[in-house]
Amino acid sequence: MKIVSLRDTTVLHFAWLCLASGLALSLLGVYAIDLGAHHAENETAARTIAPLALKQFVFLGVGLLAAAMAAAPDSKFLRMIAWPSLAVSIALLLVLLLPFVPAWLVTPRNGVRGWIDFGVFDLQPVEVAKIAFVLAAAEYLRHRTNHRTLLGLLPPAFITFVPVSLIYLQPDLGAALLFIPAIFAILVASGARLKHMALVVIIGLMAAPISYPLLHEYQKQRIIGLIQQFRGVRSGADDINYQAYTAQTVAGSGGLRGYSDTKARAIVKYASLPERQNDMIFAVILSRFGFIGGMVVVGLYMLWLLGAMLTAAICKDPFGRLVVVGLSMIMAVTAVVNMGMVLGVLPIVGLALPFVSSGGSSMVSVWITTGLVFGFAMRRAPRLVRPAFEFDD
Amino acid sequence: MAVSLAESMYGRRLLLLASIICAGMVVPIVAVSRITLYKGEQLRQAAEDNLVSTIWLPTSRGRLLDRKGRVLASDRPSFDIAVDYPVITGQWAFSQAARRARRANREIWKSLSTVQREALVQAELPAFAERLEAGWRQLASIAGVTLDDVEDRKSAITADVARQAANVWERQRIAMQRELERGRELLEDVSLSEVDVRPIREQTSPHVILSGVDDRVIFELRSLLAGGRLEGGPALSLPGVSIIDTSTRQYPFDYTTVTVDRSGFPGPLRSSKPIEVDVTGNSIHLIGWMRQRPFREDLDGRPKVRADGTLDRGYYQETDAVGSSGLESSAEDDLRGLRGLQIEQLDTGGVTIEPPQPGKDVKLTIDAELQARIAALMERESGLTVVQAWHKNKAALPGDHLKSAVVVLSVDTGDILAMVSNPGFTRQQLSDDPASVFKNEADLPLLNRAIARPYPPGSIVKPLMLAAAVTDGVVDINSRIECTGHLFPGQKDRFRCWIAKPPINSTHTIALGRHLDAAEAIMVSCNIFFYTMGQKLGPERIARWYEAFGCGPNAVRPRLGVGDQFTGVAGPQMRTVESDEAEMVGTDLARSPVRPSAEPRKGVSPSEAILMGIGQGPVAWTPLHAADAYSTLAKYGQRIVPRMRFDEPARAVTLNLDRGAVDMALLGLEWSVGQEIGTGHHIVVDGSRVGKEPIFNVPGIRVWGKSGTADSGLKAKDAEGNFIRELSGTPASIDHSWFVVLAGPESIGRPTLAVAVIVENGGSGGRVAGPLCNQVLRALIDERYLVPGAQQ
Repeated sequence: MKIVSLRDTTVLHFAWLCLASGLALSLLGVYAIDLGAHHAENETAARTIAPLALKQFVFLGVGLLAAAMAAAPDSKFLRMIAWPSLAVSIALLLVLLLPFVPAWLVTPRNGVRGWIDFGVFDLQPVEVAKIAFVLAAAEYLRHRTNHRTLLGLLPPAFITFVPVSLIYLQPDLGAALLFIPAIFAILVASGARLKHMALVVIIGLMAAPISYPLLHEYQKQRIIGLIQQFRGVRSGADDINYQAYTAQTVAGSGGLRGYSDTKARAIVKYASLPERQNDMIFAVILSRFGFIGGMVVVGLYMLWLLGAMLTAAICKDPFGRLVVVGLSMIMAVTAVVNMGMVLGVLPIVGLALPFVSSGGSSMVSVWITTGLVFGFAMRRAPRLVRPAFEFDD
Repeated sequence: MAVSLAESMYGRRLLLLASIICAGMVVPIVAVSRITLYKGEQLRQAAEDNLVSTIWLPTSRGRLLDRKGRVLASDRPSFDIAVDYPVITGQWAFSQAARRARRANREIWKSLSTVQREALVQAELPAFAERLEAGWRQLASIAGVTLDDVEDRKSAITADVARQAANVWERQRIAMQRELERGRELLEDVSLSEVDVRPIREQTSPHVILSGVDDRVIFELRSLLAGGRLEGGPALSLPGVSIIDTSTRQYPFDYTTVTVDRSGFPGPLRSSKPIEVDVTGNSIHLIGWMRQRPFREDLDGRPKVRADGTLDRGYYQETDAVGSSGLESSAEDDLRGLRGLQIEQLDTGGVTIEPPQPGKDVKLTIDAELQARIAALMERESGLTVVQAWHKNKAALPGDHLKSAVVVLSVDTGDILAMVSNPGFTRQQLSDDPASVFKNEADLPLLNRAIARPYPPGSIVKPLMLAAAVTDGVVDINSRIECTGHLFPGQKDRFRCWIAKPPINSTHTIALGRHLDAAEAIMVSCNIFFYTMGQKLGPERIARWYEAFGCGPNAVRPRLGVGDQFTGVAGPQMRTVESDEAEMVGTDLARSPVRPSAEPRKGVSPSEAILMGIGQGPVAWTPLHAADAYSTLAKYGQRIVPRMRFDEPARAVTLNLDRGAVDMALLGLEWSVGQEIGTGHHIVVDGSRVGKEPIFNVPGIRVWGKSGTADSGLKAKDAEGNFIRELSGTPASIDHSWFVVLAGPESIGRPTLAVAVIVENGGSGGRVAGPLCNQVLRALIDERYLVPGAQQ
């Protein structure tokens, strides 16, 4: 493994945008977690930072370290570990599902078998799997051409199907579905024919209603709940739509500029918003900072994505291009889906808001993502590299 | 850069992906705008509503009082004290201890073994257990019960909930097993063995520890509960305590025992020994009752937020009791009161209290004791409304209990002192056996016969007809009329006087030896005289006069608020029904021939007007109409509309009756009860004409009165369904028994009270209603409404 050397690197690159926006979002997340965990009696009351927020700050530190470690190795090393890391991820996903696994190792949370308890920390294998999948898919497609045929799409589909099905069985439909936009983006970037991709998308859209009966009951309830929201039916406000309506109330209450710190803490506390430090944290931010704060958050995500896409544009390494594109799509979809479900335009699927939601696995995962982008951005392109993904179309 | 990107395929693909991402980002931008800017105001209000805790403070319903301030209906404050189940079982202490242990050792908690964790929890447990112990002691002390009583109650609750939980879990297991066997997926991630981990509702909700607690205890408890939220105040140690308002409505006069003096009773009913008569449901027709839940129209009629956006503290909640009938219903807005409001701002701790406003008391004109006395007289035990041999009632059998009604009116003020209808019912019956009240077609106990049942007036209208005819100038007050036994020469079967019928077969002219003047005609109740009144008044006038006296849909009606009132009808609104095929008395009242016409007729016929002169034909009224009309007569045409509530303003209508006519009418009434030849003077109880007893025996009281035997239009039948015949061979009619009197102390010399009595299907007015009326006067004397020798 070639660690970064100064001769092969540059400090002038667009991934700094990713670093800066990621840092801003993380710090905002720490504050929002504290706001949701802690109600101060009045403005001047002395108070300490909530333990969960402090923990998130620690996770930020760990994440930055992980980002540095992810940025260090070169592309060759990453390619080397791509398939093994996917294998390890699949193994970890299998561990979650095996029935004889002891409860102290894997305990369901909210009905989802998604965490492995290592005592000192909890690991969410799906976070590892997302990155490993992108690496593996990028490695598979970096110099291939058969993916430009319809049959040639089958291997990438299989690579996708394995982790997706294992994650779906946890069950964690939201995380499972993230893999699909990722492979889509990688295939598009790697030169797959657009008409083939369009066909796949159409088939997917047509298959969606047919697959409704295959959903778990609670998943169906969430879709029904979303439809009720669109129709303005409030009958589910106390059960299936309680979380959604409460999140919207807290989010919308911020108005243009949001509440003061004390008032926002009270609003969040007495709204009894479930998952206010995790999936619904965007509602807390909107309550505190209002429309302006919401636009800032969206702007920071767009800044991160801009940095990543520009990195992908400049990167000459085909592997790097595909990894950055795949990771960017995961980041974008996760952010849009989380904000959409908080705001009531998408069903609640349990996806955390990147950089912001509490949780060590999620934080480390997004910083590894950022580190990978940073790594590809800071490396100069090797000489004599042939242009990648240029086909006569 | 975009241009150079577009030059390569990869670049173009990247731009495509970037566009897709940007398009996706539009979703949260639009959604944030919508929710914060477009719906922001509404959602802000909803979010800030969560910061406000609103507690409604109960109020008390106003009382119903009688004219002497006796309580007829009042709220009995009552409360239950409930405690959360985990506090009852002690699980609360364990949960709190576990929470504190976790917080204190949060860094190492995950690394601890189960045994180690248990030890830490046990170390924290004593403090919380001690708090519970102290709390129970405190609660027992406040409530004035022993700790053992409280412990017994806790044990009973725990055992009961455990039993319920076992049943629920077993049912759930069975249901889950069935689902699994069908291959269906379970909605929740719970295995069969984990069913009993999930608590049932009873294990998370409060349970009543102490019931029927008085408001002194509650006041102290509320102070301690509030003290926990206010700095520096004493607080209740026991957590999870709540107070449930279980106030009930009391009716102290619902069950009374009246001692009835029978020394003045007629003939065989007389006794020196008084009897105790239990009176149930006293005044229930007037007071009404409550229902425990509001109907949809109550909730809609008085919503929480008025049309102008202000809060109505008297709005109906789902658990509110509501006045359902009678004065409880008509006076609902006055009685209800307004709840108090305690608003706590959760974020600042600020508390504002708007105290409750109790409902207003409503004072009625009736006298509860008088009501009870009169009701006792109408019960079967007294015997006055039981068919006796001397009644000579062809329509009923001796021993049958007859239905009746009495109204007592103050002549000077229009106050209704008493209004009693028999049979009645009790509130207990309403809840235990409602069918016996609502579906009792035979007795119709719900019906207030004093105001809601139409009866033909019969002869009691005669003095009113005299006054009407003389006032209108169609009759000379001094004129004398010959009683030939029938009105029209040559038509002996039509418009006959009662004296001309078998077995008497005579005329009043023969009986008195002269033509009758007005007073004599009233005294002997000569039909011919009053047929003539009816004939001379004519159809239009006679209908108008009935209405002037308060009988008719256009008459000024009393606003009583005690339920349906029959308006009274006279003339064009009436239609008589052939009654030959009607059923026996008392069993088919729905087929009463006296009922309003669906369509108004053009007018009454002259022959109907003649009948109306003696209170028959197309005319019907109630005992209240009768008392009201006589009261008007007593005041020479100044009608004071009867009222039931003291806060009802007095209303007067002037009829301008001829004074001479009224004097003549009053004279006739006085002779009717005072002269031996008067139809209201005496009864014969032993079958001989020698054994006469005066109907009225009220020394010191002057009585002006008139009996009435009103033909109901129905014919009497025996058990086999055959008509019961008179001596003449004609089918015997079923008659209602009326007696209406004016009374006042002799020392004053003018009437002060009007009393109307009807005994349904009782037959002769004098024989049946008369003695009951006499006893009503005696009750009025006992209650000091008639005071012999009074000067005022």
